[in-house]
Formats: sequence, C-alpha cells, structure tokens
Amino acid sequence: MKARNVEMAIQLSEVTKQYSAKKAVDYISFTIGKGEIVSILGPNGAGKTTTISMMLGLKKPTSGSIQILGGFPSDRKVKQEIGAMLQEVSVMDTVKVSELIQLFRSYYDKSLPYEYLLKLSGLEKDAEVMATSLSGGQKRRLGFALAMAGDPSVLFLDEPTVGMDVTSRSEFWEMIRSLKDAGKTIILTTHYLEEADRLSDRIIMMNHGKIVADGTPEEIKSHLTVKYVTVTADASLELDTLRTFPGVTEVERDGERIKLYGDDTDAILIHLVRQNIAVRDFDIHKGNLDEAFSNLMKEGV
Amino acid sequence: MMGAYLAQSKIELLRTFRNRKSIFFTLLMPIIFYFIMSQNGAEKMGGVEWKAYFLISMTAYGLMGSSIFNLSLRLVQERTQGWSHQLKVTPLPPIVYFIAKVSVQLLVNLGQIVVMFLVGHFVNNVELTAGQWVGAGFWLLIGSLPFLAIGTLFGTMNKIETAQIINQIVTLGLSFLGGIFYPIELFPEWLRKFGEWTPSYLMASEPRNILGNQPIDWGNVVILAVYFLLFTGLASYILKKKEVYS
Repeated sequence: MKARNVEMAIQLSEVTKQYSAKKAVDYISFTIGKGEIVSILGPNGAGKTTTISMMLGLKKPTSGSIQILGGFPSDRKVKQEIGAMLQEVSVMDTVKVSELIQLFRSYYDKSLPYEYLLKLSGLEKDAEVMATSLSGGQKRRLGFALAMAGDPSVLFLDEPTVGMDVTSRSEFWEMIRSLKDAGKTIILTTHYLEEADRLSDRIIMMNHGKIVADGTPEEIKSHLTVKYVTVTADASLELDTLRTFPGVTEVERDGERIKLYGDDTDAILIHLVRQNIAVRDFDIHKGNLDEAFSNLMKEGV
Repeated sequence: MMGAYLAQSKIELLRTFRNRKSIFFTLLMPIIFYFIMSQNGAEKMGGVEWKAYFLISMTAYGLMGSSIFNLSLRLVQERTQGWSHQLKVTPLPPIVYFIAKVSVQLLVNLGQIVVMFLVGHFVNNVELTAGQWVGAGFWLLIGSLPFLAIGTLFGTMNKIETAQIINQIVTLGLSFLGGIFYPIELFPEWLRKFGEWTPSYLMASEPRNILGNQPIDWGNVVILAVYFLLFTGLASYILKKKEVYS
C-alpha cells in the first residue's frame, strides 16, 4: 500500500506454485520497497515458506515472475546482496561455530568482520564448540549470523524466533530494529502475531496460498476487527433509539450491558454523552491483531 | 571465488580427519587386513610378489571405501538436512562446492596411497623401484576416479540409511568380484571373465602391470574412463531431475 514511490527491492508478479494437485501459492503479486520491514503472516500451510523459497530461488514458480534488486533470485550478483535464515537451520557436522562463520564469510565479496558476526550469533563463549551440539535456539542465532555474513541489503527471515526463549526473542527483535535503522529491507514470516505487529511496517496476510490482506499493522487491525462500545443501562432504555445514532451498525443487549457496534467508537461515545443518554461504565473495544487474524482465517475457509 | 574454494576445501579436509569412523574403515582396516593376509609365504601371484600384489589390493580396497562412503554419505546428509538449501542461497556456485568436495577426496585418496605404500615398504619390506612406486600410486589414484563418481551417484539417494546399505553391498560385491580379497587369477574361468569388467579389478590392474613390468593395458583404461563418465552423467542427470521437481 505504501512504498509506491520508493525504490523497489522485490517484485512478485502473478506468481503461482503448483504441486501436483495443490496450489501452494495461488497467483499472488506484491511489491516491497527498499528499507521496508514486511511480515508475511499466516497459519501453517498458508504458503509463506513457499513464497520465501521462491524469492530466494530455492523453488521455481510454476508461473509468474520474481525480481529482486533488479535481477533474478538465481543471479550471483543478487545473491551477494541477500541473506537468509531458513526455517530449518541445519549445520554441517564436525564443524566448529567459528569455522562455519569464517566459511560463510568466504562466500561473499564483501563480508562483515568475524568478531561482529560472532557477537550477532551470541555464541562468543561457544565459538570453538561443534555447531551440531548447539541447542535449537542457539542454532537459530547462528543461522542469523550466517545470514548476515555478506552484509546483505535484503534479509529474509523464515520463522526466525521459533525455539528461542523470551529473553533471546526480545534481544533478537532489538537486533532487527537496529537493522531497520541501518536501512535494510527485511522480509520475515511468522505465525507470532505480536512479532509481526511489533517489528513490521507492513503485514501481508496469507491463507490458502492467497494474499488476504496487505497493509500497515494499524490498517489491518482497523479493517479486520470488530469494534464496539459497551455501556451499562437500565432495562427501560430503548435499543431502537440507539440504532438511529450515526455510525452505529448494530446494537445488542446482554443483561444490563449494551453493545454498540461501529467503526468510529469515539464518535459513538461522544454522541452518547451529548445526547445525555443514561448510561455508565463505558468500555471501548478496538480489537487486536490476534482477533484480526482469526477473523481473517474464518473468512478464508 | 578462489578464496571460497580454498575455504570450502579446508573445511572438507578438516571434516574428513575428524571423522574417526571413516579413518578406521578406510585406513586402519585395510592395513590390518594387509598384515593378516600377506603373511603366508613368499609365493607369487600373476608374476608379482604376493605381499606387493596384496598391498595394491588393500590400497584399492581402502580407496574404494573412502571414495564411495565419504562422498555419498555427506552428500545425502547435507541435502536431507537442508544444508545444501542454505548454501544455495549464498553466492557460492554449486559447482565450486562440488569440486572442493571431490578434490579434497582425491587428496585424501593420495594420502591413503602414500600411507599404505609407506607401511608396505617399511613394515612389510615390499621392495619396488622409485618408478614403480610412483607409477602404481598414479594408476591407483586414476582408478579411484570412477569410485568418486559412484560416491556422487549414491549421494543422490534420499535416505542416509539406504545409502549406507547400498554402499556396503556395492563395496563388498565389487571387492569380491574384482579379486580384491581373493586373487582373480584363482577364480573359475567364467567368474574371472565377469570380474575383469568390474571397476575394482580395473583399478588394481594397471598398478599390478607396473609391478610385474607389464605394459599398460590401454583398453582397461578406456573402460575405467567409460565408467567414470557413465556414473558422473547419471548422477548429474538425477540431480537435475530432482531440481525440476523441488
């Protein structure tokens, strides 16, 4: 929705990926501008990882085209500029953490300093440990450092914080924010709504291989959540009067509590006060991303 | 690119030395077999002193095992565990990665030949001219090339367990049929005719010709080359096919 005038980093045009009977990704198009942080959000099997894999050149689209930084995902020149942390971080056996980082540095024309990458991995104490003996969360941190080895301008993170504890997760979010400040373009998939909400400028929601919503976290929330004002009123209050209020779409009574549905909850509230309606205990419900998400997924079925 | 090749080769070499199981099966086991089976008498086989003849056999056996096992198991493991996906995202061209793997294995093979020859000469008193040592070593190394191709071919399998079993069967089968454990000169005629077509027999045949002061049999060399091209072609065909369907 935004970033139309910004320089383009990634463009997907009418991309479909078909596996024998199933369309994992079904005719999607979107553009990501340079410097954007975009979350691709959706339940398992929505097509998030397939979409990322195609952007990385790991899978070929059945039809449609993908451009990254003005080239194809398979171009070596493009690969110099991208980094990826895949969903399943696997490490070579019988190789130490330090050796793995150095190996990845050797793949790129311009690489970040070893010490810096080791710090990113948070494995300063375990540099001489065999990478296979690391815990799941540590392996993901190492995967992140390896993704950063070539100082990429576009970074892909596929479910980056799965398996991390609360502390490492917030540390990780902190790192992502500082990368954003450094002007990197970041594409992450997640099924943690909080992660998408906190980190990204933009959320692309996917379900059943299709894009079901695309916008800022606020836009998504406002479009997809049900908003209402709840008040307490005497039983004598006529609901029909409330139904005539501007902006009110529906009124519902639940014992003493009355729910007034409408997009502009502030206007409803002000109107209630101005009209001197005998109500008390105002409560505004604006909805959160979780709710938007589950509404969306219900629609998708 | 050269830097990436060297870094990749260094890692592959380190991994080979850290793999104790592989060192045991491809270096220590042939040496043990060699000592057990070269002790009986000083008779000759095919015009070559038995302890020299069998040194070639056991070196060939070690080369066969390490070429097939090291390459195939690692390739299967790296593909099934997603490591090759991780590499595909980097600018490292897959061919550089592959060449690093194969060239390191070739270097390991050369090391194996040197160790076996040193053991044969200094421990078991095998006496050859300098030219014979170098010639035999050279042809053993050349003869190991089709086995690198077989290792690559078996590296396209989907399961490490399957690869392990197939490796065992093929290595053992080729060892017996090719007269590595039991001299082909003592085979029944029909089996010998068959065994002479195996890459294991062919790998050991030129070095033995050199030991027996016989001329190089270029026909055999051509068959080895055909094996090499056949297995390499088959492996790259399967890998391409896998790519299309991924």
